Amino acid sequence: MLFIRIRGLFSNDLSIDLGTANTLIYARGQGIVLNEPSVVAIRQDRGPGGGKSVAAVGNEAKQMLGRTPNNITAIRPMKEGVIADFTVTEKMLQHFIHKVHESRLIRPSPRVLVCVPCGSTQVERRAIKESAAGAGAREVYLIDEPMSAAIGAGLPVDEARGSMVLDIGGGTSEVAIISLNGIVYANSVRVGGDRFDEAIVNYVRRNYGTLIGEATAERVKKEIGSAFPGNEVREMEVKGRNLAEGIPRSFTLNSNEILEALQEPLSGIVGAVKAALEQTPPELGADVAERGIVLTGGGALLRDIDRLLEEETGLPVLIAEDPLTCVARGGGRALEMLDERGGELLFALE
Amino acid sequence: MNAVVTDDADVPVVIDGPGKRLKSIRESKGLDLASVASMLHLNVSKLESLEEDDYENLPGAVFIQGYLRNYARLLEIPSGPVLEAYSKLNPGRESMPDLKVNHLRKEVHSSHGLVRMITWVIVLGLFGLVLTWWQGYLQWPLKSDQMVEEETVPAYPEEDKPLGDLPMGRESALPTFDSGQASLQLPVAQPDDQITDEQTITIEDEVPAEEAGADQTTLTELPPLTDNPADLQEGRLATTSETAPVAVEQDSPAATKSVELVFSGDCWVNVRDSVGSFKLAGTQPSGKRQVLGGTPPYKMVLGNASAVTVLVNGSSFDLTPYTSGNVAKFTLELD
Repeated sequence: MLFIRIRGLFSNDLSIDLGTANTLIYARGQGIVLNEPSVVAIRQDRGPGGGKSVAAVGNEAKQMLGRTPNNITAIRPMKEGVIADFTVTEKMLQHFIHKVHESRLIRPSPRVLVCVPCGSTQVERRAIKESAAGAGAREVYLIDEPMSAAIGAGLPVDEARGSMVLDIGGGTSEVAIISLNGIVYANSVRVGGDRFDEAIVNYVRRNYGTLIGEATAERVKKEIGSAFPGNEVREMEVKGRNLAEGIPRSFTLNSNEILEALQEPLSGIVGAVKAALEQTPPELGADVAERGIVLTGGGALLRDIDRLLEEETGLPVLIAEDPLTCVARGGGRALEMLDERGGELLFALE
Repeated sequence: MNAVVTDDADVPVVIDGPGKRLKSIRESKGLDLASVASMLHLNVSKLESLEEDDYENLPGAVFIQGYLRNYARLLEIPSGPVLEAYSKLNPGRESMPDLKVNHLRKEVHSSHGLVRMITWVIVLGLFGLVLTWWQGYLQWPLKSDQMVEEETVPAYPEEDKPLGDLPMGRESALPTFDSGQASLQLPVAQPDDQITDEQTITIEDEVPAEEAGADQTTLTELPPLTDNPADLQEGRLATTSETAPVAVEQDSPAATKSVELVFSGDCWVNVRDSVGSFKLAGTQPSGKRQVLGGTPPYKMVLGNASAVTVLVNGSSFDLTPYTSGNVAKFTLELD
């Protein structure tokens, strides 16, 4: 126990946004130190009874997604904001924590704050906590993702005024109304970047009879994806396997097609926002109407998603500065506050 | 259009805030305030304060930046310069003003100056301790030898001459009963030498022993004598029984006993007498003979017992009962 404390002296406090798509680590006093895809490539050693070992983690492993031989599997251990594969998540966290402390001789034992979706169950939270502890964390705190996102976006969470934040992540979208350092209403829908990719894959298969991979779908989404019809139409050439011929074929997609493909997941998010506004007490609802909704998370980078929400709700919608890192930065802020207030917490930490 | 506007706006941007610049672009595009407000879903009054760069009535920085970005997009101009102008106008307004705390408790890392300094102090301290110990370790046997010499040496010059020619010296080295008597008689033979101290008397005894020790022939005769411990033990007992009456006559029994260590091989010894006035410690070379001074009983530790013969009044003392693993540890009492 003492030894762990001593090792803690040589470790940074970390705030980890353990996302479905990307894992971000914010180190106190240093800012965002790691931003890598949550992907792990596992190698099955040859021979009977051969053990499994980690072949690659992060960016390198993402390159392998869908391109692996038999003895390697590239997997994403997080699904819909929660842990799908416990041991692999632990390995991934371990790798990332080590990477952040690369220059240190002593094995790191940091205090870690992990952001979890507000809709996650006790079992899922416990899994994340134990996974982080297994990766070498000295102490593990959990914070609700929308709270962390609001702090990271710079919303005045401690005021007696309602602030609405919508965090569109890889696996889930979280919408929350925050006032006086607490969550008044929060909802989590399991719609996010992954569902957008899936929708694009399905659309292309249905309309072009062609199968494309998830990585290609993600590239399409980033390049020409949009949530609201715009003036300009962008095009992109995509290659996939034609289902009828069984041969790779090339074809062209445009932004309007992608907009159509994304209708279903987008309506899920809009529905969640509307439901949240319905459930919000009127005073807080008025505050939100006056100031607007703040968007964070990687999904906020989808073109014109703020315009879609503006049109649907009739409220001002603002995209936070650097929306991808909001959650991790907010977690870092929360860690600092944890020390400043000496354990007397402003908001729910577990 | 945009190029013209930005050219116009580039100069006043430094003086004016982002709102003024947006307002001029809006007016040049022929848009009225109300329609822009409805497009941005903002109050007209709020939009006015935004254009006037009056941020008192507006919520926090994050909202203002968002409004400016949306406004810029509506006017189809890049939002970067507008936000830059805003941050120039409000350098003090941080994105997270409400959570700012005056003093942050800094965590101490291994790279921290103080930690490094303390580490160096500890390392140097340890190094110094090791050095001190090492020097002491090197000098210790030397010192103890010097001490022994200091105790014994000063006696020589005084006593050398009168005792040097004594015929007893040679005989006292022989481990026979008679020689024991001879050495016992030594102080008796020298009563007029004005020696009253017990210690100097014993040292006086030592001198002939040392002289005799120099004679190698007697030394080589010594080892066979230790082979017969029973006889020797008897001899010692006989010696003590014999010395008793002599002691009565002379009023100082302890002074009449001589204990001598004869080394037939290198041996580490630690010998101390009861009052602490005499001690012998350290490795003694082969062939050395050492008569003990001080006051009996002696506490003895002999590291290589088989290479040492303890002569009490010239007769060998049996070490076997006290020896374990060639180390003898015992207290030698002279009755």
